[in-house]
Amino acid sequence: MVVLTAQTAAVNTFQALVMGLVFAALGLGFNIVYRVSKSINLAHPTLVLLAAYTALVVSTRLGAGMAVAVAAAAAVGAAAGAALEVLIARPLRGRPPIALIAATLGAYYVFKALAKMIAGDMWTTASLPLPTFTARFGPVVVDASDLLALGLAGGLVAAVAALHRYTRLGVAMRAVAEDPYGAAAYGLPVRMLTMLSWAIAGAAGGVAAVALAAKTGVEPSLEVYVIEALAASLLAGLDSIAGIVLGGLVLGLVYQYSNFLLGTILPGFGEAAAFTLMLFVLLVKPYGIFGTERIERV
Amino acid sequence: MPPMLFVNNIEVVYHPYILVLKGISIKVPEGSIVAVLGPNGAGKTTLLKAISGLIKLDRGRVTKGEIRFRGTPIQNRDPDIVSRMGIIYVAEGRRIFKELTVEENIEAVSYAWGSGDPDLVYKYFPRLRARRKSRAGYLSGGEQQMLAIGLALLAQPRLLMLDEPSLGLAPKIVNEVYESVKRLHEEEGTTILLAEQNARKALEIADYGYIIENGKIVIEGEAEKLRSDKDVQEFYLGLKKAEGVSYRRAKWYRRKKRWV
Repeated sequence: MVVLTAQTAAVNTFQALVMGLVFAALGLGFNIVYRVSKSINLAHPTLVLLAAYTALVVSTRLGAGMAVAVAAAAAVGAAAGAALEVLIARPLRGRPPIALIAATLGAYYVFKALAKMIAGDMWTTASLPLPTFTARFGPVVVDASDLLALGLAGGLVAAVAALHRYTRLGVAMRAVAEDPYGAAAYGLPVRMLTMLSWAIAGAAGGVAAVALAAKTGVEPSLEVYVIEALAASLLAGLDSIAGIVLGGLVLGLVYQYSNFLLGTILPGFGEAAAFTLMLFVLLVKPYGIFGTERIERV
Repeated sequence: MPPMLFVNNIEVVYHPYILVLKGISIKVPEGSIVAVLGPNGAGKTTLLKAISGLIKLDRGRVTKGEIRFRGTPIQNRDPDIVSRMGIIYVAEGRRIFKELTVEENIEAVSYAWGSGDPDLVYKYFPRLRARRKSRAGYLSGGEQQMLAIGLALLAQPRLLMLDEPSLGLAPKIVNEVYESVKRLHEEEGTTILLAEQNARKALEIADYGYIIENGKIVIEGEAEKLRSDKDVQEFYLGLKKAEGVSYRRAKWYRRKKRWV
């Protein structure tokens, strides 16, 4: 039986915080796409996998620095996101959301195959080459992977939120997301902005991929974490960007503590807990905690 | 000189088979206000959407005739291309971005046009300035309509198409909206195509009017002439003759309509 002491609680809560932000960053891509296309992008998990292997190959095989690896992962993610919009979402515009969901499921396997191609003989479990560094804050030990994950995930969420709130481009993307028809009438370049949103979602997946890989290493089944992050998105409400931080943190806590407390009795319960949480949220609050309540004046 | 907008005998079909406009022709000369009047379902909105290209998004098409803007054919073009040419359509039902604040609405549309002086909106609709931080969905109906027209102004339209700006508004607010429309027509020199059920109000500011029923034009003429036309008075302006409406007269009107 595992005992929770002040020391283990501090360690676990810190790790929950790190994983929570990583989950929030991973879930961001779902939210951005949902806002513009009112559909769930099931290819996002393997898009992250593809970006993670890109980062691994760039940083180990090519020996480039971490900054270059992040940039490469973001670029691959952005290209994959834009391709999804042009090749799948655009032709299916105006069709029921289920058509797009099914089509992105097809893309899920395409991205997985691409990841395998890029990985080549590295298609195994590996970790990113990180500097050895540790710092101690009381009982909590912080290493390079924690710092990288915190920095990338936190910075990413803040950057995307700021883009949507404070820049004209971001506000225009929100306008298109709310009402593409009205936006077209007022002359907004709807197609370009929709594609850009998908590309940003993909780039966010790429950056989040490196944050995730820093914590968990790169492995062929890495996409499972992203499917879990969908729970964070749903918890936040699929169209809320600010709420995703809280959704991620709740998921991080549930994940960390269910693994820690129940891991010895029920191995692998951490994953199940995430999906139980998702199921519960869908039952109680179908639009999530921060999901937009449609404004209706009578 | 050819008119700024020339709609020549167009037919519009929705969803391959539903014929909505059956050979409509209108002219909008530069610098004028032209009103398209008629009851609900007559085809006013379809006409405006056909011009703006938005029927494409409703799976509609112009199947016959042509629409020329300054000599260039524009039928069945994409809506963002048509709006780039200077034709801005303000949809009925106050199409604004309800989740965004007034200021953000203005920012979003300004993004599309590179320019975007919010003062242009506040100049014609000063009420909006006080509400610039509130979400547009919480504005009153009149304010939402003002914002919708204000957003169109940011595009510096050559032709502004307003669809039922009076819909669902109190008479006092309708007057206020129409005052602003008239003012921006005079001060910005904007050409306006106005679709309205409220014929009385529209003919107050219009130079020329068309009355549509069932996808066809039944009467057209100078606004002055329409205002004094007995049929228009009786059927669209709601002015009753002292002797009341006789059945014979109504029948005569219908027969006349069929031949026009």
